Amino acid sequence: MSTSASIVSHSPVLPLLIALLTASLTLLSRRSLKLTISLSLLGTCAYVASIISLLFSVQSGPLVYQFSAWPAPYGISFVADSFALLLLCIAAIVTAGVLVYSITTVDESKQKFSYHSLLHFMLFGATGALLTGDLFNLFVWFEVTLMTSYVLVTFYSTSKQTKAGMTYVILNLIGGAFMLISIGGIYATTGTLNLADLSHRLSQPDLYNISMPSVMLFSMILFVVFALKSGLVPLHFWVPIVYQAAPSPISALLSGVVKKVGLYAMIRIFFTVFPSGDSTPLGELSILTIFGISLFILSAASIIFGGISALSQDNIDNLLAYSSISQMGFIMLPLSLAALFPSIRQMALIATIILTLNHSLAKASLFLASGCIKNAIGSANLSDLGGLSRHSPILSISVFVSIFSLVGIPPIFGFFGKLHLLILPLNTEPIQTMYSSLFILILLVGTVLSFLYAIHLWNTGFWGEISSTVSDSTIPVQNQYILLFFTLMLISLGVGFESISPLIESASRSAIDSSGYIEAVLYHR
Amino acid sequence: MTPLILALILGSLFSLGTFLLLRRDLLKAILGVIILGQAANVYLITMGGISGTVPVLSDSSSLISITDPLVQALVLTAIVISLGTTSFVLVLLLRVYDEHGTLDIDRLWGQL
Amino acid sequence: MTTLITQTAARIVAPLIFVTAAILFIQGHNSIGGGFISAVLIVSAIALLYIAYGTSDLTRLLNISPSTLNRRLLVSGLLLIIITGSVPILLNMPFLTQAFLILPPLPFLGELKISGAILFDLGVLFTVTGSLLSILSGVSR
Repeated sequence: MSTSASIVSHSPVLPLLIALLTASLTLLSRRSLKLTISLSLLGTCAYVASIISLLFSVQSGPLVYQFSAWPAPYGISFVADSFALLLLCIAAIVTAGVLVYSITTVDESKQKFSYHSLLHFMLFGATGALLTGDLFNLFVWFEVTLMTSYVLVTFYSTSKQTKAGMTYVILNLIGGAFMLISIGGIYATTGTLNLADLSHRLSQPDLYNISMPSVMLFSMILFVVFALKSGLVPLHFWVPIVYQAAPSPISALLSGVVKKVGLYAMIRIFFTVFPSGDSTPLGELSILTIFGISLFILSAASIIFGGISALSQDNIDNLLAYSSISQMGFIMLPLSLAALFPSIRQMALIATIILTLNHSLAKASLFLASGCIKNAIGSANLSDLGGLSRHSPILSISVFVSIFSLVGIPPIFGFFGKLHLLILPLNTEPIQTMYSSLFILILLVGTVLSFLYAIHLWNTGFWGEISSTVSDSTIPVQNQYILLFFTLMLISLGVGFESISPLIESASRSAIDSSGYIEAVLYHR
Repeated sequence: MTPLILALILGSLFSLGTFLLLRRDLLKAILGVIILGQAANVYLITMGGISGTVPVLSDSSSLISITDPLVQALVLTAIVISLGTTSFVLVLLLRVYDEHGTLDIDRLWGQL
Repeated sequence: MTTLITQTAARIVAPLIFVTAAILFIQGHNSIGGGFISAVLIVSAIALLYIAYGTSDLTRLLNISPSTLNRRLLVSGLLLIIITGSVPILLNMPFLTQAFLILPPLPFLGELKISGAILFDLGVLFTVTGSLLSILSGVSR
């Protein structure tokens, strides 16, 4: 084997090692803050570089890495495909932005106290969760990511944070227990935990003596757990509590990284693993049908409920949290159609991926902006604000672009997500009219609601007379540059959509390509 | 016989966990969550079968009835994870008590 | 709890626990034991010493503040894990691949199989000891 081949073959594990190494080293260098920060930045740069190079190298097909050289169904595989890496790339960019923002805003003593290390551990967990090809391993990485997020949410341990953190931890512990139950059940019924092997066995349930109704039951438990982690409506109540209490950079990470890990797992399991078992006759009730219908209801409810609740919020963080619930609904809604109608599956995933990227970037920028406002003015209540657009133009421009990117105004990136959503039911393939009309109705109502709360945020907080609290304070300019970075990113992704669309398309293809996934993992093709 | 006992143990663990989770005392609620987690671990053990003998022995005659070793490895991992989360949640409980002076859920969350 | 009885008992019991931990650690590769379990035992022994002698005496004995010690243990464990895991990469084998060596029979322990994973396990031991000790110092007040 040549040297160059060996470098390529180890590349899927590289981001993981970089994140772990950076996390450990930043933990060690407590004496000098400068050293910590430079190590942390260096590690982030290396991480982003490794992810981007990996993203381009998997465009031709997924890369599989077997830990300890144990062959596929027995050992733990890492599968780097373009879907996972695109999401990981955005997670890395959001984390990098948050890190740069934190350097100037988080207290020095707190930064010395393992803040950077925790950020990198979170990245470590997210990397593992997105790359792993094993169901139980996925649970472990989930827990790693969540454990760092527990600490980060309660980072200053103020009275509000301890309470919110408690809610968050208890909910996620219960979710974890249920995830374990469902994983155990899936293992007992199918006899495997490797996602590719699982998919392979589900395609021949009789051969492997698998009882499909039990798989269906356990898959629904998994669905509920993922819905909890991504904050869909009946399980959304933790979102505003936690987002409002957590430090703003952490809220940005929660919506940009942690929630996306849950979303990724849902897509990976329901669109890569389960579809192969879906051809088996089970009457009207196949896994994907139940999944699709329940997801349709949950995401529609999230869109409407989140939008309406966001309208009446006075606190910016609360408004953003409810907007996050509504946006998760927008992200999930095409998935429900994808589950119900296989012919439009890829188009729907394209819409989902665009909306996910858009939401991560826009929410990161908005939460960081809210952090700037809170730090300078001491309040994030819209009633105390006013006239920010004249007071601090850079901040206002980025808030404007980000919030209207969530709404989906043309030149900005979010527009393409909404566009793909809208053309979904108009696609040539016939979709039952009930679904398509409901879909369009929800879409329109949701978009109007998000437009209204965007206007609400803009009009009360940023336009009009400069309020006395605003005029007395200054927002440091160096904190605002990072917002500008996210804003420019949103605009350039929107304007140059043509250049990124091949990446998104290949990501959507690899997300639904079960046979390619099975072949890559089990047969090394 | 053993499946019945295990089912009873599992059922009582889950019901105990749920019962404690619904208490007004935050400490009891947390104990409930921890017990639920442990119940999930016990359940995971039963998924590998419990009647067989030790796996991976040179004597190949007992190949048919070995216990699945994988679930035990999984449970070990899950126990380590729950050790970490349990210790974190207990420290957080101490912080909640420090900040609010009470562990009564109604008084903590009633005044939201 | 710093009575004479506890102190005397701790002085006898703690070394026994340490020895048990060491045995469990060494036989851990193919038998019951391993890095995690022996780390838990070590921490329980240290907790016993803390109870018997109080935290300040031990700190003076080790001449290092507990938080620094814990952090160093944790980080060195993590680094050991990374390094041990990465050695196979240099040899062009997947991450975490292990090799082993069968030692000639030793007194008391019998035939031992020492694998590359034992260094990894040592990393686990350090990490778990460090983190458990910092949890202990976090809740002790």
